[in-house]
Amino acid sequence: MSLVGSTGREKKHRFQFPYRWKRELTGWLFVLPTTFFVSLFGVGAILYVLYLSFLQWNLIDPVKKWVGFHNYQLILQDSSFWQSVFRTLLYLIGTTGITVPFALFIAVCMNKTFHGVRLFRTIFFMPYVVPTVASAVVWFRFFSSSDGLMNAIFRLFGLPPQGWLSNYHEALWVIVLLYVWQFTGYFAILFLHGLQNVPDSLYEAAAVDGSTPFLIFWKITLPMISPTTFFVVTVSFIFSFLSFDQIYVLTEGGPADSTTTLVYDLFEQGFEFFHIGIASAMSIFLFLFLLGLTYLQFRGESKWVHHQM
Amino acid sequence: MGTPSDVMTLRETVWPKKTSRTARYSSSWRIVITGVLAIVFFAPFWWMVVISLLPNRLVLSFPPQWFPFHPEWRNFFLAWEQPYFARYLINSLLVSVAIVIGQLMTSSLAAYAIARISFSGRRLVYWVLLVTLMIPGQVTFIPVFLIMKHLGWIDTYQALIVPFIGSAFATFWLIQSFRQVPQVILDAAQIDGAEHFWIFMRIILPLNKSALLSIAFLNFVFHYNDFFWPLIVTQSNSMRTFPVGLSYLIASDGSGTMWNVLMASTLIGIVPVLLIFFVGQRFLVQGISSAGIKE
Repeated sequence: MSLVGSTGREKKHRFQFPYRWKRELTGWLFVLPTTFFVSLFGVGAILYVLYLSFLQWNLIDPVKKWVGFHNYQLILQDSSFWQSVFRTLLYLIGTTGITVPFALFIAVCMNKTFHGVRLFRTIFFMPYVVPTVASAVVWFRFFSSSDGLMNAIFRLFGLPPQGWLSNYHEALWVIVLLYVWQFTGYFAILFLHGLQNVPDSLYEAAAVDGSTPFLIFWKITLPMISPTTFFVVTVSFIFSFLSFDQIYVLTEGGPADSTTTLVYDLFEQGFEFFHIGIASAMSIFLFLFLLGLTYLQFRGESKWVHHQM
Repeated sequence: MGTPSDVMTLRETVWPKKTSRTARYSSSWRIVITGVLAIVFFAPFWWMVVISLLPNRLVLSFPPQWFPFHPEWRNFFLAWEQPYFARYLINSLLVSVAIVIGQLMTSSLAAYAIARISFSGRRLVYWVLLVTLMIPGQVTFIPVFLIMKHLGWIDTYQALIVPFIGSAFATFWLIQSFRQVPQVILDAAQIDGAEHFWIFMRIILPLNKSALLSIAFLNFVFHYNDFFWPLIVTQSNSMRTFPVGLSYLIASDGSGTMWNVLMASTLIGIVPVLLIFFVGQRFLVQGISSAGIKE
């Protein structure tokens, strides 16, 4: 590297920065735009939201009252907050519990190359590319309680028509189903990538030993793709934790708050009731939860995941 | 002997391709299962197309129509003629293209500096980016909204574009990719007296075309589909993006009086992402499968 300092093309009489200075200056100039935006809208915004969480303020009032940890107290004592935490966890487990095994199954089916595998991959991946709002339109038609296709099919089989999106107990699961349709293909592609990295020699060795396909899957495939599985589960947790579009378009948190998750609650507090302090305190909760999840991923990965040597 | 095809046949006689009976059998059940599932996954799209082409009186008929025997292309014109519909689309395209261009410019420069220039702030900036990677928009929307309000940017294109210009995600991705360029090439260029900016423009960018394209396609799709932020920061119809506008069309027509036109609007709106998807599928798939696994 030090070679470069002495071989500048520049003419002698022009002023030259020492090479180190120049390198420093170039480096900082290059990272300046990204660092500026990222600090302002990322790290800076987190600090700002922390400050707001200590205030009582309604967005319009010129007076911002400092209330210390009062907002946090309010939230922790509020039973509806805990209900939305509970619903978020239910949604998290519902979406991930269905989507991830399903995606793995599809990936295993697609792992062998056969005619049309690329077409299938395209079809499974397509729902992920389409905006959630667009998919929600179809879901409306499917699960409308009055004239939806689902109820029409139910009637055909002599089953009682359901309320779906307008039923307190069913609405959340209709949204879970939309999530499954949207993300299974995406996760299947991640799994497929993991499956293709399993060395063939392992399968060949198992075949020589006369293992059953089930045993091969259980003892070779599953341990070998555990890094992918871990990653997919974490991503699915984060995606469903942050789900908003589905809920806003399909139910607006209803009926009777039965689909109000943490993020939706946060949105309502902030932009419908203008409780900026409370909404900010909830944002901090959300952030801590995500940090916890990321930490668990780091910890868990070293503990549970089999890394190939 | 000697021609490539001979070598191929030779190889196949030494290592015959596995086409035992069990292998063929196992791949046929794979095709059946995958095929059935693919049909299920594709059904909502097909249904979207069918409903968008039906006359309104047939939309709610049962058994449902699975093929539009008398397509009513008029529905698409009706969708297009809805007030502000074209504007929603133009806004979405404009905003996501602007974001992608901005991100590519800022993040590729930053990635080059972090991957290839040893300057004092390297580690610090790297850590700031790593922290930012864990902050989702749902956590910071209140402060960012207040910043936009302070700047007087609510309900403008700036508010839709500027918060996304710096991207930790894109920068990380490009750092990974830029690190794989052999140091020898860069050393040679430096010995010849090339400046960093010249190396960046003439060597790094051309060598990392596919990473740049992956980022561009993925983030285009992401921002075209983004709903949360545009919902918060837009107030007038002339600023709304397609997803937000569509949610208003649903809300105003949720009772389902004009399902066919609503489906037609949806289909028109997803054409750009589907186009990107079919053109750049290779890059998208390559992108999403390497983004997470290699960290």
